[in-house]
Amino acid sequence: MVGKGLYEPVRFSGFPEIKESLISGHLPATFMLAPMAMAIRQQGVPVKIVYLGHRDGTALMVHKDSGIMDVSDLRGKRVAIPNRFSNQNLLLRKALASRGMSVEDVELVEMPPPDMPAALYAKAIDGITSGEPFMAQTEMDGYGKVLYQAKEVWPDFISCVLVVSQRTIDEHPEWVQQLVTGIAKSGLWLDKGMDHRMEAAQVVARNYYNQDPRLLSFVLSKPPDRVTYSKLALAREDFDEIATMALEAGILDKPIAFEEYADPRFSENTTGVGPYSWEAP
Amino acid sequence: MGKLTKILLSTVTAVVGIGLLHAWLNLGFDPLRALGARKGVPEETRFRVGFLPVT
Repeated sequence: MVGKGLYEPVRFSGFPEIKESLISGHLPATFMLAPMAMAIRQQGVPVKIVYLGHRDGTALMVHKDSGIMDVSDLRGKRVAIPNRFSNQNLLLRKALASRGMSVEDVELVEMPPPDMPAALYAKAIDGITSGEPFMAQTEMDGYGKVLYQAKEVWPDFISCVLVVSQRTIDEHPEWVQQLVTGIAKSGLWLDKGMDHRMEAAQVVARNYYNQDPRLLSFVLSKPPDRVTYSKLALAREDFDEIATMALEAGILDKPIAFEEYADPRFSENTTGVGPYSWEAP
Repeated sequence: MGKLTKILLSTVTAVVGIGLLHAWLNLGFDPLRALGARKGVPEETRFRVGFLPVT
């Protein structure tokens, strides 16, 4: 079989499947939860984080009839997170700590993000938190209410990162660089104007996400900084914070150095890169 | 052309033919690509990038 280009996006429904595909070698690269990437690296899987997927773009949603008005109202409630190895898990812990609470005060449930809106609608769960657009979907459909946006709890929040196998980095660094530079240019193009975001919503919803373009338009515009794509270069201090919190949460067994799980050279080579010059027709 | 030359040429042609057939069926060799009749990137060398439909 022959495709049109070198890069082939492969859509998954859950992070455990992504992890297994990366470990098995089926995927030379993938977007993955940052703490999950650190954890599998610590477990000996030869992979490296090379870039970010986006910043912000996570919320905690509750049912509008739940009576939950503040994070402190989550005491004793069931809250769904995408995975134990997710930054949403760490974000929730941070939000709870701001109210003098801990994760022991809520019941955590792991759930694939695509299943979360239906669970909240059915009131099978009291709160859900994952990356967009599943949080916005509950808001757009009229039953979800934002309890917090990630940036209110953790400014410049990181969720998904680009992870590449060491073998690919060693054998085809030029492919990795091309991908990273492309993501950097796409991100800058997206953040250049609302018309770009609306155009991207149409293209991505139809060709990659198989979702309603109106939903992605909602996510990328209400508010415009709900998800941001400009500051995607690897910053050691961001990852040090994640690693420290992941260690406290028991996601990591022991401290792990930035150099062990990250390869910032591809990210560093995007310095000075500008947005794609393409304009919507 | 002598009889021996014919036998040698036939043998070489058969060996090359069987070799190409083996390469096509078992080793991923694509004769159409070698002749420039097929464009694009073969699946085995494509760079798969996994993602969940989250922003």
